[in-house]
Amino acid sequence: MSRRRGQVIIYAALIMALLLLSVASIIYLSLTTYRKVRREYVEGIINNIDVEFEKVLRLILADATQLYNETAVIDQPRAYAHEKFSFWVKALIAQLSQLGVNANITLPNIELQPNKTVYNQSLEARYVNNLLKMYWYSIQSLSAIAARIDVDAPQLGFYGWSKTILILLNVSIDLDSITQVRRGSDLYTAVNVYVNKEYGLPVENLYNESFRVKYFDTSVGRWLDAEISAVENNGGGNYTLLLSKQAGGPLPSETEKILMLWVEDRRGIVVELYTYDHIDYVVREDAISQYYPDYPKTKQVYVFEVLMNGTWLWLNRPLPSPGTYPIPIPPVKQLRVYSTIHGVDDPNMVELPSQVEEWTPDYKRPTLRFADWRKRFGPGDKLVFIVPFNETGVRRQKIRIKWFHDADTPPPTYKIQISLEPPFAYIDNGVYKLQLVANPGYSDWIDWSISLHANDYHVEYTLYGYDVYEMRSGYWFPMKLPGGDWQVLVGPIRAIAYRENNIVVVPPLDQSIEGELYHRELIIVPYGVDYFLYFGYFYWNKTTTLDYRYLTLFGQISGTPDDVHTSKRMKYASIQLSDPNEFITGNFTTYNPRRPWLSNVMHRWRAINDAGNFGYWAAQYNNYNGQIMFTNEETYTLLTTNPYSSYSEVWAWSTYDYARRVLSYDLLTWDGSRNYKINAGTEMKVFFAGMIYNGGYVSQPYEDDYVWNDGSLDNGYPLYYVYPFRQSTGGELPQVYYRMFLESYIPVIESISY
Amino acid sequence: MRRRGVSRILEAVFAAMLIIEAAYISYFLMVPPNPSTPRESEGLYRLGYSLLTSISRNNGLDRLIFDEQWNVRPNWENDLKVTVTSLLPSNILFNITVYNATMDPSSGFIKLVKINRVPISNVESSDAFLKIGETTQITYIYATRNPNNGKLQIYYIYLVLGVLRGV
Repeated sequence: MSRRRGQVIIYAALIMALLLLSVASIIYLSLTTYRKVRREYVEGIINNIDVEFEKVLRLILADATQLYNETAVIDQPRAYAHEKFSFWVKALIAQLSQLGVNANITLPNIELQPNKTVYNQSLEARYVNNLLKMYWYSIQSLSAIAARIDVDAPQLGFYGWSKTILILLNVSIDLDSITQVRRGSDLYTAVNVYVNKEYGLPVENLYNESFRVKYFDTSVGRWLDAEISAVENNGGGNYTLLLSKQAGGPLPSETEKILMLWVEDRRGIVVELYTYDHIDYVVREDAISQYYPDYPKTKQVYVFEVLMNGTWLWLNRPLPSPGTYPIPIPPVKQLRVYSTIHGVDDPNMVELPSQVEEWTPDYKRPTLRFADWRKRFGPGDKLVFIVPFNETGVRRQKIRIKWFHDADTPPPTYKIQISLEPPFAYIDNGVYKLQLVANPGYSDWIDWSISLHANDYHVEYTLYGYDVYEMRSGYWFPMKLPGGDWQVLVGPIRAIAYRENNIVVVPPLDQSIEGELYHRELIIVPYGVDYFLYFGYFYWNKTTTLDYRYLTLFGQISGTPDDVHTSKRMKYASIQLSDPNEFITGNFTTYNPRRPWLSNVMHRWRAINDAGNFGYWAAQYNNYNGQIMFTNEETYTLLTTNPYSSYSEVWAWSTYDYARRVLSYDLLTWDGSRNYKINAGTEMKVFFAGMIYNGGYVSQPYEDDYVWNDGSLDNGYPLYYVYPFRQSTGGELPQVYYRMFLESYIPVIESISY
Repeated sequence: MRRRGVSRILEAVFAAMLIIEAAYISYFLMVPPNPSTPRESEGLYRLGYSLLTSISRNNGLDRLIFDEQWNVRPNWENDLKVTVTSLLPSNILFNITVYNATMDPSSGFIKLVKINRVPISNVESSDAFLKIGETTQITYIYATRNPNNGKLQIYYIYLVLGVLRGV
């Protein structure tokens, strides 16, 4: 019996086990069936989202890249992309919420490629984030967009569907492949490009219109469209473009590897590529180090301008160069300039303050879009940057002009500050404040045209003026001044005040006349330097006879009623002589309110002494503060050649009113007994730089009215001694720096590469 | 005593069988009374989405609604009706309504504007859908780009499908 009972138990156990397995399988089957039913219910929705999600991103990327290509501003296409994507997401969620489906959209950060170096171009690690990214202007460029969607349908018991969409167009140029090839009887320039899209898939359906190529034609100094004669599809996304000039023939061999390429695939997605992404220069200064190798030349900072054809300018003069490479046409915000600080062997380069300015195509006038960064670099534009050579002994610097690849590169920040306190505009360059009479109606303020405020003091600069008005009790000169109002254009690192017209004002008569003198004037205030620059071009429209011979080009006036007998007053003047190794020094009168007429002394005037002997600079200063005027060779030549050589001077005098101190470069010294005729068609080009510095001391006075007239003040007025001095430390600095502003000592580009 | 032990085992076996049977029956109870209904519903869903996906593929809907200048084609509703009719079995009833979705810039809400001027349907009246057994409504979101202004446009397509029986 026990055996039978055991068998029953075994059978029962087996049956139980089978039953339990059946239960498990039934439950699993039930669950699976339930899920299958739910999945099929949402499958259509999911497919709809899947297809449309990809399509929407593709459309947005196409539009955004085309928009960026047109506008050169990333904000607009990025805002457009976010707005459209947000629109689609809202529409999607509105649809899905009706069906009880939840969708969550996120913008992932996906690494597209690590950093690498290709053809001497450092390509950064590239990511797509914040919806879309564009890395252009390099030899390998891409546009990409990415987003992720997570979908749950709780009511249908469906969870966890997600998809990340990445769309991109990636193009690279094979620089080594650029060469001339023959097809039939014709020669072309061949360029191989590789085009692929997301997941490395080759793009196989491009054709001629998918590509656009620009090359630089040195003969016209412009970027021109190359003719794409044929596009050969080599398979695998590799295309050979056969290029020729518009007039036929291969591209110029000297610039055939300097190309800009646009590719637009069939989806409408655009990328822009350049075969080079920087230009390296070695620049040498010839003005100071070779003469003063140990001098602490802290003020030797140049403001260079580079034109599209690659020409560098300093003071509107081209730098000698072994060659030029053109600057391409990226959005101007992409452009940056780097330089060594400690000389050409310095392993580190730092970013220099820079900006792009728009000028007229002849580069003579700034336009109203002066510092507009919402554009591409183009003809008439200048890339302006500030290069220091201000370390002792540093004569060469390595400089790199670069254009960033990331389209999200921000525009340069403003370092120049401008404030308006009518009628004045103040331009603060971080070192000084240049005060300008910028309001309409004040252009007759001759001695307030420019004031330079620094070291808690200011000196006023006079500009061009001519003729003298005879009043009942004396003379008013100059009688006539170029008129018109200044237009102040401010960029991130330099400001320009500009005026151009035919207006001449006659302050003593409260009149203005037109048609006598055309003038175009520029005052340039760079950031962080100790100087400003003035350029004036004057053209006499008709023959004009001045009532009295007098024409001044520019000058300085200091001294006000408020600074009489204070230490702020400028006390001394130094003037370089025609032998540039020499300069003279003298002091101005001291103001005596009880005998103000004693203040009025002509220290150097052509009528009485050696004022016609002058050089490239003149300065006035005290023991801790001073300001200098430097001129250039062109203006100096104007002053010292016929018909003006007999009349020109640096006029130094102290005035009757508060013993103001005057120094001016005069083309025609004043003669109260003669008139003077200036013929129609006469041109005058005037340049000077105003620089602030720390002044200096004088010593070893002596008597010589031919050098520095004392007005006989030492005879009976011992408190008001006026002397020339044999020694002056205040004249040393201008003596060091004057070559910086001379054409003969312009910096030189020693080498150039990319 | 021995017989009682065996009967206990048999009781246990029968109890287990009852549980299994209950579970098995419950599986069938999950299915709605009309066994054809879920299959029809699923099928209509799939059919509807498949239809709209194929029409929308490669911007097909753009070409149906707009001409090359992106002007609304006259009688595009009929063209769409013909297209859909040709893609569906003859016993399937359909009604399509197309809305242009725009975003109200002030509120941020999506506004829908119906763009088909005449019904796109193979039935005279939408009442026909009330008289048949099973219907399904599908919402399809369709994005495209107006080449004239480069603007992204979004359309909602509402599709109602039904199966006509006894034909």
